[in-house]
Amino acid sequence: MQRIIVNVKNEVGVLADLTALLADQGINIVGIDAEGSDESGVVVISTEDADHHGALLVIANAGYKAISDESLVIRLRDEPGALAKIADRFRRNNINILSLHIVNRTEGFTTVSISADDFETARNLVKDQLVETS
Amino acid sequence: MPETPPQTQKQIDDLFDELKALSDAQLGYPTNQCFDYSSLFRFLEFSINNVGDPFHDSLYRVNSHEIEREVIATFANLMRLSPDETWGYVTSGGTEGNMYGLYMAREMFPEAVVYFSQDTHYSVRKNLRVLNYRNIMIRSLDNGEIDYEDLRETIRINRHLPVVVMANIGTTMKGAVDDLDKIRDIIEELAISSSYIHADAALSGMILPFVDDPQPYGFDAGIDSIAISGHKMMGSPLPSGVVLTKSDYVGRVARSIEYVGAMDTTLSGSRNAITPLMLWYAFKQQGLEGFRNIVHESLETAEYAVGKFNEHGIPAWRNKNSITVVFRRPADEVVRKWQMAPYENFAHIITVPNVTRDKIDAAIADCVAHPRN
Repeated sequence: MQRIIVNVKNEVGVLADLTALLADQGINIVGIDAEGSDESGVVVISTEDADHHGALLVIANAGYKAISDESLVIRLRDEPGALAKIADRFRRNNINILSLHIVNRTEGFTTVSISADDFETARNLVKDQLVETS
Repeated sequence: MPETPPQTQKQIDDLFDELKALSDAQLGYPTNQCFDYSSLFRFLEFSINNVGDPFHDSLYRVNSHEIEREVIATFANLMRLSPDETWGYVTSGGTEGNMYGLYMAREMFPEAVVYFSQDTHYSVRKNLRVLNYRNIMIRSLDNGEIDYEDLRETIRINRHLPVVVMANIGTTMKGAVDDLDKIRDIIEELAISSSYIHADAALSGMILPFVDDPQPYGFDAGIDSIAISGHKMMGSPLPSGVVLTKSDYVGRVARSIEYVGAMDTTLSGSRNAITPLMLWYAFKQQGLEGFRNIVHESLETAEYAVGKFNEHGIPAWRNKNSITVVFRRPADEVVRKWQMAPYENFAHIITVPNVTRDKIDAAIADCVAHPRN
Protein backbone atom coordinates (compact mmCIF):
# COMPACT_ATOMS: atom_id res chain seq x y z
CA MET A 1 0.00 0.00 0.00
CA GLN A 2 1.32 3.45 -0.88
CA ARG A 3 0.18 6.89 0.18
CA ILE A 4 -0.35 10.20 -1.53
CA ILE A 5 -0.27 13.38 0.49
CA VAL A 6 -2.40 16.17 -0.94
CA ASN A 7 -2.11 19.78 0.14
CA VAL A 8 -5.59 21.35 -0.05
CA LYS A 9 -7.58 24.43 0.87
CA ASN A 10 -9.75 23.71 3.88
CA GLU A 11 -13.13 24.06 2.22
CA VAL A 12 -16.31 22.07 1.79
CA GLY A 13 -16.24 19.49 -0.98
CA VAL A 14 -12.50 18.85 -1.24
CA LEU A 15 -12.69 15.27 0.03
CA ALA A 16 -15.66 14.55 -2.22
CA ASP A 17 -13.82 16.01 -5.19
CA LEU A 18 -10.70 13.93 -4.58
CA THR A 19 -12.60 10.68 -4.08
CA ALA A 20 -14.72 11.34 -7.18
CA LEU A 21 -11.59 11.99 -9.25
CA LEU A 22 -10.15 8.62 -8.29
CA ALA A 23 -13.45 6.77 -8.58
CA ASP A 24 -13.90 8.11 -12.13
CA GLN A 25 -10.61 6.45 -13.05
CA GLY A 26 -11.53 3.19 -11.31
CA ILE A 27 -8.83 3.67 -8.68
CA ASN A 28 -9.61 1.96 -5.39
CA ILE A 29 -8.99 4.03 -2.24
CA VAL A 30 -7.72 1.82 0.55
CA GLY A 31 -7.74 4.59 3.16
CA ILE A 32 -8.28 8.32 3.37
CA ASP A 33 -7.70 10.72 6.21
CA ALA A 34 -7.68 14.48 6.56
CA GLU A 35 -6.22 17.05 8.87
CA GLY A 36 -7.05 20.74 8.60
CA SER A 37 -6.46 24.11 10.16
CA ASP A 38 -8.21 27.42 9.40
CA GLU A 39 -7.33 27.79 5.72
CA SER A 40 -5.39 24.75 4.59
CA GLY A 41 -5.38 21.04 5.14
CA VAL A 42 -3.67 17.82 4.25
CA VAL A 43 -5.41 14.74 2.89
CA VAL A 44 -3.59 11.42 3.07
CA ILE A 45 -4.87 8.89 0.55
CA SER A 46 -3.74 5.26 0.57
CA THR A 47 -3.99 3.21 -2.61
CA GLU A 48 -2.94 -0.20 -3.82
CA ASP A 49 0.68 -0.14 -5.06
CA ALA A 50 -0.42 -0.73 -8.66
CA ASP A 51 -2.68 2.34 -8.59
CA HIS A 52 -0.19 4.68 -6.94
CA HIS A 53 1.25 6.48 -9.96
CA GLY A 54 -2.10 6.67 -11.76
CA ALA A 55 -3.70 8.22 -8.69
CA LEU A 56 -0.86 10.70 -8.29
CA LEU A 57 -1.27 11.77 -11.92
CA VAL A 58 -5.05 12.16 -11.69
CA ILE A 59 -4.82 14.29 -8.55
CA ALA A 60 -1.99 16.45 -9.88
CA ASN A 61 -3.75 16.94 -13.22
CA ALA A 62 -6.79 18.22 -11.35
CA GLY A 63 -4.63 21.04 -9.99
CA TYR A 64 -3.90 19.73 -6.50
CA LYS A 65 -0.44 19.74 -4.96
CA ALA A 66 0.16 16.02 -4.46
CA ILE A 67 3.26 14.36 -3.05
CA SER A 68 4.21 10.73 -3.34
CA ASP A 69 4.81 8.62 -0.28
CA GLU A 70 8.46 8.41 -1.31
CA SER A 71 8.71 11.74 0.50
CA LEU A 72 8.21 12.57 4.15
CA VAL A 73 5.96 15.55 4.75
CA ILE A 74 6.52 17.62 7.87
CA ARG A 75 5.05 20.80 9.30
CA LEU A 76 7.29 23.43 10.86
CA ARG A 77 6.87 26.89 12.28
CA ASP A 78 7.50 29.40 9.47
CA GLU A 79 10.50 31.14 10.98
CA PRO A 80 14.12 31.70 9.97
CA GLY A 81 16.32 28.72 10.73
CA ALA A 82 13.50 26.17 11.01
CA LEU A 83 14.62 24.33 7.88
CA ALA A 84 18.24 24.53 8.95
CA LYS A 85 17.40 22.82 12.25
CA ILE A 86 15.81 19.92 10.38
CA ALA A 87 18.82 19.69 8.06
CA ASP A 88 21.05 19.63 11.13
CA ARG A 89 19.07 16.79 12.66
CA PHE A 90 19.69 14.75 9.51
CA ARG A 91 23.39 15.60 9.36
CA ARG A 92 24.00 14.65 12.99
CA ASN A 93 22.49 11.25 12.26
CA ASN A 94 24.43 10.78 9.01
CA ILE A 95 21.32 10.76 6.87
CA ASN A 96 21.70 12.39 3.45
CA ILE A 97 18.88 14.66 2.38
CA LEU A 98 18.27 14.00 -1.30
CA SER A 99 15.77 16.82 -1.61
CA LEU A 100 14.00 19.21 0.72
CA HIS A 101 11.20 21.31 -0.74
CA ILE A 102 8.74 23.82 0.67
CA VAL A 103 5.22 22.77 -0.31
CA ASN A 104 3.25 25.51 1.37
CA ARG A 105 3.63 28.44 3.78
CA THR A 106 0.47 29.54 5.51
CA GLU A 107 -0.80 30.69 8.90
CA GLY A 108 2.69 30.77 10.38
CA PHE A 109 3.56 27.22 9.38
CA THR A 110 5.59 25.71 6.55
CA THR A 111 4.80 22.33 5.03
CA VAL A 112 7.95 20.66 3.76
CA SER A 113 8.57 17.48 1.77
CA ILE A 114 11.83 15.61 2.32
CA SER A 115 13.36 12.62 0.62
CA ALA A 116 16.39 10.98 2.16
CA ASP A 117 18.70 8.06 1.49
CA ASP A 118 17.45 6.13 4.53
CA PHE A 119 13.70 6.53 4.60
CA GLU A 120 12.91 4.69 7.83
CA THR A 121 15.61 6.39 9.90
CA ALA A 122 14.61 9.73 8.41
CA ARG A 123 11.02 9.06 9.32
CA ASN A 124 11.98 8.41 12.93
CA LEU A 125 14.06 11.57 13.03
CA VAL A 126 11.11 13.81 12.15
CA LYS A 127 8.28 11.76 13.61
CA ASP A 128 7.38 14.61 15.98
CA GLN A 129 6.66 16.82 12.96
CA LEU A 130 5.31 14.36 10.42
CA VAL A 131 2.09 15.27 8.66
CA GLU A 132 0.10 12.07 8.77
CA THR A 133 -2.94 10.93 10.58
CA SER A 134 -2.90 7.21 9.90
CA MET B 1 4.49 19.43 -53.72
CA PRO B 2 0.79 18.50 -53.50
CA GLU B 3 -1.69 21.31 -52.79
CA THR B 4 -2.99 21.80 -49.26
CA PRO B 5 -6.36 20.02 -48.87
CA PRO B 6 -9.24 22.49 -48.19
CA GLN B 7 -10.03 21.04 -44.76
CA THR B 8 -6.39 21.35 -43.73
CA GLN B 9 -6.28 24.92 -45.02
CA LYS B 10 -9.36 25.73 -42.94
CA GLN B 11 -7.72 24.28 -39.81
CA ILE B 12 -4.64 26.39 -40.48
CA ASP B 13 -6.73 29.55 -40.97
CA ASP B 14 -8.80 28.89 -37.86
CA LEU B 15 -5.73 28.31 -35.71
CA PHE B 16 -4.12 31.48 -37.06
CA ASP B 17 -7.21 33.57 -36.23
CA GLU B 18 -7.45 32.06 -32.75
CA LEU B 19 -3.78 32.72 -31.96
CA LYS B 20 -4.02 36.27 -33.27
CA ALA B 21 -6.94 37.03 -30.95
CA LEU B 22 -5.23 35.39 -27.96
CA SER B 23 -1.92 37.17 -28.57
CA ASP B 24 -3.61 40.57 -28.38
CA ALA B 25 -4.81 39.97 -24.81
CA GLN B 26 -1.74 38.44 -23.21
CA LEU B 27 -0.50 40.48 -20.26
CA GLY B 28 0.90 37.98 -17.80
CA TYR B 29 3.66 36.24 -19.72
CA PRO B 30 6.99 37.83 -20.58
CA THR B 31 6.97 37.53 -24.35
CA ASN B 32 7.74 40.67 -26.28
CA GLN B 33 5.59 40.37 -29.38
CA CYS B 34 6.94 43.47 -31.14
CA PHE B 35 9.20 41.90 -33.74
CA ASP B 36 9.55 41.54 -37.48
CA TYR B 37 11.67 38.68 -38.77
CA SER B 38 10.21 38.64 -42.29
CA SER B 39 13.72 39.15 -43.75
CA LEU B 40 14.61 35.70 -42.42
CA PHE B 41 11.60 33.77 -43.72
CA ARG B 42 13.55 32.46 -46.71
CA PHE B 43 15.81 30.47 -44.40
CA LEU B 44 12.87 28.13 -43.83
CA GLU B 45 13.72 26.68 -47.26
CA PHE B 46 16.68 24.84 -45.74
CA SER B 47 17.06 21.87 -43.46
CA ILE B 48 19.37 23.98 -41.36
CA ASN B 49 20.72 22.47 -38.14
CA ASN B 50 23.26 23.70 -35.57
CA VAL B 51 24.13 20.24 -34.31
CA GLY B 52 27.16 20.19 -32.02
CA ASP B 53 29.37 22.80 -30.43
CA PRO B 54 29.11 26.22 -32.15
CA PHE B 55 32.82 26.79 -31.48
CA HIS B 56 33.92 23.65 -33.37
CA ASP B 57 33.56 22.61 -36.99
CA SER B 58 30.81 20.17 -37.88
CA LEU B 59 30.46 17.88 -40.90
CA TYR B 60 26.84 19.07 -41.05
CA ARG B 61 27.66 22.36 -42.73
CA VAL B 62 24.14 23.67 -43.36
CA ASN B 63 24.26 25.57 -40.10
CA SER B 64 24.42 29.08 -38.62
CA HIS B 65 27.29 28.44 -36.19
CA GLU B 66 29.12 31.59 -37.20
CA ILE B 67 26.05 33.71 -36.49
CA GLU B 68 25.52 31.78 -33.23
CA ARG B 69 29.06 32.64 -32.10
CA GLU B 70 28.32 36.33 -32.69
CA VAL B 71 25.17 36.04 -30.59
CA ILE B 72 27.14 34.36 -27.79
CA ALA B 73 29.77 37.09 -27.97
CA THR B 74 27.13 39.82 -27.67
CA PHE B 75 25.49 38.17 -24.67
CA ALA B 76 28.90 37.54 -23.08
CA ASN B 77 29.69 41.23 -23.36
CA LEU B 78 26.36 42.09 -21.72
CA MET B 79 27.00 39.54 -18.96
CA ARG B 80 30.50 40.90 -18.37
CA LEU B 81 32.38 37.80 -19.43
CA SER B 82 35.63 38.36 -21.34
CA PRO B 83 35.72 36.94 -24.89
CA ASP B 84 38.67 34.60 -24.24
CA GLU B 85 36.85 33.05 -21.28
CA THR B 86 33.49 32.63 -23.01
CA TRP B 87 31.69 29.49 -23.99
CA GLY B 88 27.98 29.06 -24.62
CA TYR B 89 25.30 28.16 -27.10
CA VAL B 90 21.78 29.07 -28.14
CA THR B 91 19.38 26.79 -26.27
CA SER B 92 15.75 25.83 -26.71
CA GLY B 93 14.87 28.11 -23.77
CA GLY B 94 15.42 28.77 -20.09
CA THR B 95 14.86 25.20 -18.91
CA GLU B 96 17.68 23.86 -21.09
CA GLY B 97 19.96 26.72 -20.05
CA ASN B 98 19.33 26.07 -16.38
CA MET B 99 19.75 22.34 -16.91
CA TYR B 100 23.11 23.03 -18.55
CA GLY B 101 24.31 25.20 -15.66
CA LEU B 102 23.33 22.54 -13.14
CA TYR B 103 24.83 19.80 -15.32
CA MET B 104 28.12 21.68 -15.39
CA ALA B 105 27.98 22.09 -11.61
CA ARG B 106 27.29 18.40 -11.12
CA GLU B 107 30.22 17.42 -13.35
CA MET B 108 32.47 19.65 -11.25
CA PHE B 109 30.98 18.89 -7.83
CA PRO B 110 28.93 15.68 -7.90
CA GLU B 111 28.78 15.49 -4.11
CA ALA B 112 27.44 19.05 -3.70
CA VAL B 113 24.08 20.22 -2.40
CA VAL B 114 22.11 22.62 -4.61
CA TYR B 115 20.36 25.47 -2.79
CA PHE B 116 17.55 27.38 -4.43
CA SER B 117 14.66 29.53 -3.24
CA GLN B 118 11.01 28.56 -3.24
CA ASP B 119 10.37 31.28 -5.83
CA THR B 120 12.65 29.52 -8.32
CA HIS B 121 11.02 28.43 -11.60
CA TYR B 122 9.25 25.07 -11.30
CA SER B 123 11.42 23.49 -14.01
CA VAL B 124 14.49 23.60 -11.78
CA ARG B 125 13.05 20.89 -9.53
CA LYS B 126 12.55 18.74 -12.61
CA ASN B 127 16.10 19.44 -13.73
CA LEU B 128 17.47 18.45 -10.33
CA ARG B 129 15.48 15.25 -10.40
CA VAL B 130 16.74 14.38 -13.88
CA LEU B 131 20.31 15.08 -12.77
CA ASN B 132 19.75 13.18 -9.51
CA TYR B 133 21.38 16.07 -7.70
CA ARG B 134 20.91 16.59 -3.96
CA ASN B 135 19.01 19.78 -3.27
CA ILE B 136 17.47 21.91 -0.56
CA MET B 137 14.85 24.57 -1.14
CA ILE B 138 15.31 27.74 0.89
CA ARG B 139 12.34 29.88 1.82
CA SER B 140 11.86 33.22 0.14
CA LEU B 141 11.46 36.70 1.53
CA ASP B 142 8.12 38.41 0.86
CA ASN B 143 9.53 40.22 -2.18
CA GLY B 144 10.65 36.92 -3.74
CA GLU B 145 14.39 37.07 -2.98
CA ILE B 146 16.01 34.09 -1.28
CA ASP B 147 16.03 34.33 2.53
CA TYR B 148 19.75 34.96 3.14
CA GLU B 149 19.60 34.07 6.82
CA ASP B 150 18.04 30.71 6.03
CA LEU B 151 20.56 30.15 3.23
CA ARG B 152 23.45 30.91 5.58
CA GLU B 153 22.22 28.61 8.34
CA THR B 154 21.42 25.75 5.98
CA ILE B 155 24.78 25.96 4.23
CA ARG B 156 26.51 26.16 7.62
CA ILE B 157 25.06 22.78 8.57
CA ASN B 158 26.29 21.19 5.36
CA ARG B 159 29.49 23.19 5.09
CA HIS B 160 31.58 20.03 4.66
CA LEU B 161 29.95 19.67 1.21
CA PRO B 162 30.46 21.80 -1.92
CA VAL B 163 27.81 24.45 -2.42
CA VAL B 164 25.84 25.07 -5.60
CA VAL B 165 23.50 28.05 -5.54
CA MET B 166 20.84 28.43 -8.17
CA ALA B 167 20.32 32.18 -8.01
CA ASN B 168 17.38 34.03 -9.53
CA ILE B 169 18.14 37.14 -11.50
CA GLY B 170 14.47 38.01 -11.71
CA THR B 171 12.05 35.44 -10.29
CA THR B 172 9.19 34.19 -12.45
CA MET B 173 6.35 35.55 -10.34
CA LYS B 174 7.77 38.68 -8.67
CA GLY B 175 10.81 39.65 -10.72
CA ALA B 176 13.01 39.52 -7.61
CA VAL B 177 16.79 39.50 -7.99
CA ASP B 178 18.77 37.41 -5.50
CA ASP B 179 21.66 39.46 -4.15
CA LEU B 180 24.78 37.80 -5.58
CA ASP B 181 27.04 39.87 -3.32
CA LYS B 182 25.26 38.56 -0.23
CA ILE B 183 25.34 34.99 -1.54
CA ARG B 184 29.07 35.23 -2.21
CA ASP B 185 29.64 36.77 1.22
CA ILE B 186 27.84 33.81 2.85
CA ILE B 187 29.98 31.33 0.93
CA GLU B 188 33.16 33.20 1.89
CA GLU B 189 32.12 33.74 5.51
CA LEU B 190 31.58 29.99 5.93
CA ALA B 191 34.94 29.27 4.25
CA ILE B 192 33.37 26.99 1.66
CA SER B 193 36.22 25.89 -0.58
CA SER B 194 34.17 24.52 -3.50
CA SER B 195 31.20 26.41 -4.82
CA TYR B 196 29.34 27.16 -8.02
CA ILE B 197 26.70 29.80 -8.74
CA HIS B 198 24.32 29.42 -11.64
CA ALA B 199 22.05 32.35 -12.46
CA ASP B 200 18.61 32.07 -13.98
CA ALA B 201 18.24 35.41 -15.76
CA ALA B 202 15.44 34.39 -18.12
CA LEU B 203 13.81 37.82 -18.39
CA SER B 204 16.04 40.18 -16.44
CA GLY B 205 19.17 39.10 -18.29
CA MET B 206 18.02 41.47 -21.03
CA ILE B 207 16.91 44.19 -18.59
CA LEU B 208 19.69 44.70 -16.04
CA PRO B 209 22.49 45.39 -18.58
CA PHE B 210 20.49 48.41 -19.77
CA VAL B 211 19.47 50.12 -16.50
CA ASP B 212 21.40 52.83 -14.69
CA ASP B 213 21.67 51.13 -11.32
CA PRO B 214 21.52 47.35 -11.80
CA GLN B 215 21.73 44.80 -9.04
CA PRO B 216 24.79 42.53 -9.45
CA TYR B 217 23.93 40.04 -12.21
CA GLY B 218 26.93 39.01 -14.30
CA PHE B 219 30.18 37.11 -14.23
CA ASP B 220 31.84 40.07 -12.53
CA ALA B 221 29.52 39.29 -9.60
CA GLY B 222 30.96 35.79 -9.25
CA ILE B 223 28.56 33.60 -11.22
CA ASP B 224 29.83 30.53 -13.05
CA SER B 225 27.04 30.18 -15.60
CA ILE B 226 23.88 31.98 -16.64
CA ALA B 227 20.75 31.23 -18.66
CA ILE B 228 18.85 33.97 -20.52
CA SER B 229 15.73 33.57 -22.63
CA GLY B 230 15.65 34.82 -26.21
CA HIS B 231 11.90 34.91 -26.74
CA LYS B 232 11.14 37.01 -23.65
CA MET B 233 12.54 40.54 -23.54
CA MET B 234 14.09 40.35 -27.02
CA GLY B 235 11.03 38.82 -28.65
CA SER B 236 10.93 35.91 -31.06
CA PRO B 237 8.20 33.70 -32.50
CA LEU B 238 10.27 30.64 -31.63
CA PRO B 239 11.28 29.89 -28.03
CA SER B 240 15.00 30.19 -27.50
CA GLY B 241 17.64 31.12 -24.98
CA VAL B 242 21.32 31.34 -24.33
CA VAL B 243 23.53 29.63 -21.80
CA LEU B 244 26.93 31.08 -21.03
CA THR B 245 29.72 29.64 -18.96
CA LYS B 246 33.48 29.77 -18.73
CA SER B 247 35.36 28.02 -21.52
CA ASP B 248 37.64 26.29 -18.96
CA TYR B 249 34.67 24.37 -17.57
CA VAL B 250 33.38 22.96 -20.85
CA GLY B 251 36.17 20.43 -21.26
CA ARG B 252 34.61 18.50 -18.39
CA VAL B 253 31.59 17.58 -20.46
CA ALA B 254 33.08 17.53 -23.95
CA ARG B 255 33.50 14.41 -25.98
CA SER B 256 33.94 14.02 -29.70
CA ILE B 257 31.32 12.26 -31.81
CA GLU B 258 32.48 10.90 -35.12
CA TYR B 259 29.02 10.67 -36.73
CA VAL B 260 28.63 14.42 -37.28
CA GLY B 261 32.24 15.37 -36.69
CA ALA B 262 31.27 17.66 -33.83
CA MET B 263 32.10 18.14 -30.19
CA ASP B 264 29.25 16.86 -28.03
CA THR B 265 29.21 19.71 -25.54
CA THR B 266 25.56 20.73 -25.85
CA LEU B 267 22.57 19.05 -24.19
CA SER B 268 20.55 18.80 -27.40
CA GLY B 269 22.14 17.11 -30.42
CA SER B 270 20.24 18.61 -33.35
CA ARG B 271 19.70 22.26 -32.50
CA ASN B 272 17.61 25.05 -33.95
CA ALA B 273 19.65 27.13 -36.41
CA ILE B 274 16.91 29.70 -37.08
CA THR B 275 16.69 31.03 -33.51
CA PRO B 276 20.36 32.13 -33.43
CA LEU B 277 19.64 34.00 -36.67
CA MET B 278 16.65 35.71 -35.07
CA LEU B 279 18.59 36.76 -31.98
CA TRP B 280 21.44 38.00 -34.14
CA TYR B 281 19.01 39.91 -36.35
CA ALA B 282 17.31 41.48 -33.33
CA PHE B 283 20.65 42.75 -32.03
CA LYS B 284 21.50 44.13 -35.50
CA GLN B 285 18.05 45.64 -36.01
CA GLN B 286 17.67 47.30 -32.60
CA GLY B 287 21.27 47.76 -31.58
CA LEU B 288 22.14 47.86 -27.88
CA GLU B 289 20.86 51.43 -27.75
CA GLY B 290 17.54 50.26 -29.13
CA PHE B 291 17.26 47.65 -26.37
CA ARG B 292 18.18 50.27 -23.79
CA ASN B 293 15.22 52.37 -25.00
CA ILE B 294 12.89 49.36 -24.99
CA VAL B 295 13.89 48.49 -21.41
CA HIS B 296 13.42 52.06 -20.19
CA GLU B 297 10.00 52.34 -21.82
CA SER B 298 8.95 48.99 -20.33
CA LEU B 299 10.06 50.12 -16.86
CA GLU B 300 8.08 53.35 -17.26
CA THR B 301 5.02 51.36 -18.29
CA ALA B 302 5.47 49.12 -15.23
CA GLU B 303 5.57 52.19 -12.99
CA TYR B 304 2.46 53.51 -14.72
CA ALA B 305 0.66 50.20 -14.05
CA VAL B 306 1.65 50.18 -10.36
CA GLY B 307 0.32 53.73 -9.99
CA LYS B 308 -2.94 52.99 -11.80
CA PHE B 309 -3.64 49.78 -9.84
CA ASN B 310 -3.09 51.58 -6.53
CA GLU B 311 -5.14 54.57 -7.72
CA HIS B 312 -8.05 52.17 -8.24
CA GLY B 313 -7.69 50.63 -4.79
CA ILE B 314 -5.91 47.45 -5.90
CA PRO B 315 -2.62 47.11 -3.99
CA ALA B 316 0.23 46.66 -6.48
CA TRP B 317 4.01 46.78 -6.38
CA ARG B 318 7.14 45.76 -8.26
CA ASN B 319 10.73 45.02 -7.41
CA LYS B 320 13.57 47.37 -8.33
CA ASN B 321 14.41 47.24 -12.07
CA SER B 322 11.54 44.84 -12.69
CA ILE B 323 8.77 45.03 -15.27
CA THR B 324 6.72 42.44 -13.36
CA VAL B 325 3.80 44.18 -11.66
CA VAL B 326 2.32 42.17 -8.77
CA PHE B 327 -1.20 42.89 -7.55
CA ARG B 328 -4.15 41.39 -5.69
CA ARG B 329 -5.60 38.53 -7.71
CA PRO B 330 -8.86 39.40 -9.51
CA ALA B 331 -11.71 37.03 -10.44
CA ASP B 332 -10.78 33.99 -12.51
CA GLU B 333 -12.56 35.29 -15.63
CA VAL B 334 -10.33 38.39 -15.60
CA VAL B 335 -7.22 36.25 -15.14
CA ARG B 336 -8.28 34.14 -18.10
CA LYS B 337 -9.36 37.04 -20.34
CA TRP B 338 -6.05 38.89 -20.00
CA GLN B 339 -3.90 35.77 -19.55
CA MET B 340 -2.54 37.08 -16.26
CA ALA B 341 -0.26 34.75 -14.32
CA PRO B 342 -1.94 33.88 -10.98
CA TYR B 343 -0.33 32.46 -7.86
CA GLU B 344 -2.22 32.01 -4.62
CA ASN B 345 -3.64 35.44 -3.67
CA PHE B 346 -1.84 37.54 -6.25
CA ALA B 347 -1.38 37.82 -9.99
CA HIS B 348 1.04 39.65 -12.21
CA ILE B 349 1.32 41.38 -15.52
CA ILE B 350 4.63 41.95 -17.30
CA THR B 351 5.01 45.18 -19.22
CA VAL B 352 6.88 44.00 -22.30
CA PRO B 353 6.53 46.44 -25.22
CA ASN B 354 3.23 45.03 -26.57
CA VAL B 355 1.58 45.58 -23.17
CA THR B 356 0.38 49.10 -23.80
CA ARG B 357 -1.12 51.60 -21.36
CA ASP B 358 -4.51 51.21 -23.07
CA LYS B 359 -4.48 47.48 -22.40
CA ILE B 360 -3.40 48.07 -18.80
CA ASP B 361 -6.26 50.55 -18.28
CA ALA B 362 -8.76 48.06 -19.72
CA ALA B 363 -7.41 45.21 -17.58
CA ILE B 364 -7.54 47.36 -14.42
CA ALA B 365 -11.14 48.29 -15.20
CA ASP B 366 -11.95 44.56 -15.35
CA CYS B 367 -10.08 43.94 -12.07
CA VAL B 368 -12.12 46.69 -10.39
CA ALA B 369 -15.39 45.37 -11.80
CA HIS B 370 -14.64 41.73 -11.00
CA PRO B 371 -12.71 41.31 -7.73
CA ARG B 372 -11.99 37.79 -6.51
CA ASN B 373 -14.49 36.53 -3.95
